[in-house]
Amino acid sequence: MLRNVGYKFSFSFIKGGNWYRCLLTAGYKDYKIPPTFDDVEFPERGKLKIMEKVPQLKGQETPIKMMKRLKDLRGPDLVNNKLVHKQYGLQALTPGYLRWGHLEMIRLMVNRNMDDRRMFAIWRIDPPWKPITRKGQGQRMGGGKGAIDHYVTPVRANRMIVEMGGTVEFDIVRPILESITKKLPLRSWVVNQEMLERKEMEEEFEEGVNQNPFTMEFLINNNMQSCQTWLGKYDKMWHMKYK
Amino acid sequence: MATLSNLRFVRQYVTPWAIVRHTGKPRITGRPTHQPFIKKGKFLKVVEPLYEADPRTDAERCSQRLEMRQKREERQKTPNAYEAFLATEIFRLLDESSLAAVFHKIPTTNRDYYSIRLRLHKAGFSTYSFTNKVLRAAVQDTKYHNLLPLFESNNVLVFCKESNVKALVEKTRRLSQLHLLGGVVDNQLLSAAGFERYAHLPPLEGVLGQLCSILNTATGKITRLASSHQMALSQHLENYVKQNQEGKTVETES
Repeated sequence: MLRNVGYKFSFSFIKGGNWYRCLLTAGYKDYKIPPTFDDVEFPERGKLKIMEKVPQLKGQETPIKMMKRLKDLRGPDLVNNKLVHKQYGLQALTPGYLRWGHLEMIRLMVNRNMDDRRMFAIWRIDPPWKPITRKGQGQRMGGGKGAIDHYVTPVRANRMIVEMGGTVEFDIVRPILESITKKLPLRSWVVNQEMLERKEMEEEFEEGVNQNPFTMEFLINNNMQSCQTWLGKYDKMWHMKYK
Repeated sequence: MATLSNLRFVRQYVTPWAIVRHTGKPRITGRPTHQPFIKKGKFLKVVEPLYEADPRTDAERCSQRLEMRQKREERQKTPNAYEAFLATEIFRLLDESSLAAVFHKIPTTNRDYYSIRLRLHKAGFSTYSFTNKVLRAAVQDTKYHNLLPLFESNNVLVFCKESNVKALVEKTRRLSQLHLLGGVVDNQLLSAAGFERYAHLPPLEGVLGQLCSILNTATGKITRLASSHQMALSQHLENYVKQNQEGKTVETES
């Protein structure tokens, strides 16, 4: 704010028996230039479509019962962990099963609160496909596998769940997605492309700056304290970062 | 009393409440419910990262001030269009005025400062306030670049068409709010001490008269020495003539 430059006006006023002079000055404000969203391509459907509760069977298919298959949850997601439109998204930090209720909640929260003229949203996960069986209440063990109770979508860590974009800044989209993170059965966070890149850079930097010569990779690969006897194959793969 | 002969092996019986299902599947989802197994715990402890001690001061390390500092550095880098215009204006003022003085301003009430500015205005001095960024931009790579060290803190510029240094120094000497740092007088950079010396100088005509007299003394001495004998002779002759004339008149009277 530049003082005593430009036109100046003043007026006096009395308060509490004392005279005060108020000097009005004009200043120069440096407004930031807003970003242009020329690269943004809007998809055909801007809003999230309804996910089916039960997968549609084709022809004479019967509904199959599936084993627990925890490998669907285990480890990091190596494929769908990036943003397609390079704008904003919701990323899972821990694994979990998303049921139809969770997906409906996401759909309603996003579709109701977004401005479809300026924004769009897309699913990054499949509709529920994995059958989860349940036995009736009070039933004893045995008598075969239970009946299919519901379907879920398994989500691994670092998976993108929902992506949003448009001619808007991050602060407009963030509250919509933040309200979803509190209601999901897994830990997640709202990201933009810059945050993802910075996280990668920070991890690399921390590795370089760390003075400790002992890393998990080093201990495991060198079988320190004969740890290979009690380590599992996934510990050797992911160095205890994921279960 | 228990002796070795009394001891015998007893089959440990595990009550039903202690039997827990172990399906053999790992607990992937959900938070950990207890401390990790001792061997894993040891590994996790050993692998904790170690960083070098931060040599920065508390103020430099503060993350809240980091953003402020970065913004400040960004703003201080280049002047924007308006600031560039102001810089040209300052340079014009420096060129056109015979006297440009830089004062350090102590924080004071607007009322007191206004009265000071009014007093200076009545004496023919105009007061200006600019940001240091603009002042530096105005003066950098110009003939006034030696003024740069002055533009660090709260500054006030005073300009005048005539180089009325004495009046300015007298008016601002007793002020606690303004402290003279230096400036430009007649295209010459002067420090605060230089200003004081300039103020104590006698007026220009007097100084010119002094210079003339000094120059004259040298030549005057030579002419005086050269004509001293002639002058003495003519003086003696005059005295002799006078004496003779006085003797004749006395004789005639008597």
